[in-house]
Amino acid sequence: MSGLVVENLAADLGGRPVLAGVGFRVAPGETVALLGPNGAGKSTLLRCLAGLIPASGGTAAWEGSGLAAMTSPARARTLAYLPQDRVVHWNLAAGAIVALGRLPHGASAGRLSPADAAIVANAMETMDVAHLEDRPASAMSGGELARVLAARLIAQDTPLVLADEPAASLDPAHQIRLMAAFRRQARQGKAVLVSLHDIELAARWSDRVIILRNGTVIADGKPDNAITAETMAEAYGITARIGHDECGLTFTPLALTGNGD
Amino acid sequence: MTRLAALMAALAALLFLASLAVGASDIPVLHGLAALVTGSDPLAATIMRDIRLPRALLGLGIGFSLGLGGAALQGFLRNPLAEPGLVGVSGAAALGAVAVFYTGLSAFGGFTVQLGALAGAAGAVVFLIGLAGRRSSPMTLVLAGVALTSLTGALTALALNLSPNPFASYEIIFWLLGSLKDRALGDAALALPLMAAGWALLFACASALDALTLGDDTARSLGVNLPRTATMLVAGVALSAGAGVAVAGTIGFVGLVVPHLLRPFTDERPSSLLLASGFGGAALLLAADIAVRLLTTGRELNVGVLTALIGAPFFLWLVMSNRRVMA
Repeated sequence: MSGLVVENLAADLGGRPVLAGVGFRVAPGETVALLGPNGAGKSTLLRCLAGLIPASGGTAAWEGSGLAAMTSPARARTLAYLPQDRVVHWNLAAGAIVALGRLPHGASAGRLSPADAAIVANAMETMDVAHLEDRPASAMSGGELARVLAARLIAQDTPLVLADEPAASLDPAHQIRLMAAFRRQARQGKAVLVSLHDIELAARWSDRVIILRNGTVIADGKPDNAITAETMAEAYGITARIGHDECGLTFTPLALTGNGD
Repeated sequence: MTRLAALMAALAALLFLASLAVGASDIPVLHGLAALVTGSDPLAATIMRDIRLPRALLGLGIGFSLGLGGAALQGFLRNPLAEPGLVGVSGAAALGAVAVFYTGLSAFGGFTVQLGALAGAAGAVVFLIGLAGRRSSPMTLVLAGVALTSLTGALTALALNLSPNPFASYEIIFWLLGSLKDRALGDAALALPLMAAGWALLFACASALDALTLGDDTARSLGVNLPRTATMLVAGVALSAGAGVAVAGTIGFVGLVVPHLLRPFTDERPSSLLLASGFGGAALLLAADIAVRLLTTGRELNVGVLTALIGAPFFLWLVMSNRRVMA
């Protein structure tokens, strides 16, 4: 069984079931976007895969080995996870933040080997933050910090990459740069699962789209097949104009369903 | 070793020698050291061995423990107000010692007081790990520590309140103030190995502390085992700071001020602060202990009083001047 295989996954938060019967696959080489309204369970799914909350049922495995059974160091070399909230507690410079991504590979963040330093420099180049290397976190804008933290994710250099709304608060250019970076990572043989709220961005930059609603998968397929008037109405309760241009799918939300205007 | 850590180590070494040189009798430091090694001048050798060396060694060890423990706890809790006293270990160790005074067991001499304090520190570890160690978030540890500090403080006050005779109360109060005066080489021999074990545990947390900079979730996804880190940290602080309380009483503010003071000169990673803060704490405590010997106040001030007296206003100034940067 190759790549990420999730079967019948269930999870509770505070006794309330948040995920139920979730099943999908992400193959190496694929970028998969996770869509769905607020509270659909996107973050819970990613946190559950990252081993941060226990599953109440079902399995998730990478290349045949269960993620839940892995030791934390082994899991940290299998998957990298970028949480939604962007926290940097001390006033570290960007270079030091990105270097933390090398910790699971035995690097001490203070003294990087030339190989680790090259990976860190490459990750910073990818996210367009190389020029921020010495800038402390307190002197970065929200978007700059988001890109630095995404560079940390890339520097961890794991076969499976999980990112929770990494595009939020990025300008359009950096959204495209971020998605292009994820796609490039996938082209190198990684499996990328990224939750997004921007449906056009998801449609244009991912190989496949999974739509969650109330903790279950309601659509899973190529963007053109998954993003339809029906699924948008079911997931978000909206009507939308869905079209195509030479770059791919176009999407304009119009109104709430069941609402006259 | 970073340049800052090397600088602090040199400063601590210098103050260690100065601590050996300062005392009631006038013995030049080199002469005293020579006497200590060769035994050429028995009087000087006795003074060095029985009075000055234990004092300097304990100043070094306790100061290092407080500075290192403060830096490690601040990193783990990601709270610049953390210090070894915050997690309740110092309070529990003090209570253990007070219990020995109160029950009159201290009359048996030997190391009864020290062992009482170590038992208190061990009890604190069991309590903290039992309550906060499993599935813990750092926040649980803070809350458990605050609860433990209040409880041990209340029990210490109760012991004072019910104390059978004024002499016992006096002994308790004096001991709580913290001092390096009149310690024996045996005190250092008891405390230093425990401290060294604690330091090893704290240094072993270095990478985990760095990872925690990005929050609990990211740290865990980077392979940090949070409950194990919490356990190592609590045990490390209890061994190093608890051993210090056992032989010298409670000495405040060193663990709080030193990491604060040095952090701006590092790259802000918690791990780069550990060694520098340890040596910085040693330097500060040695300097304060030299100062109480040089100040002629009729009767010698307890070094714990001096560190609090200087530490609190200094800390306030530090917070005020950093306000804009931290906000």
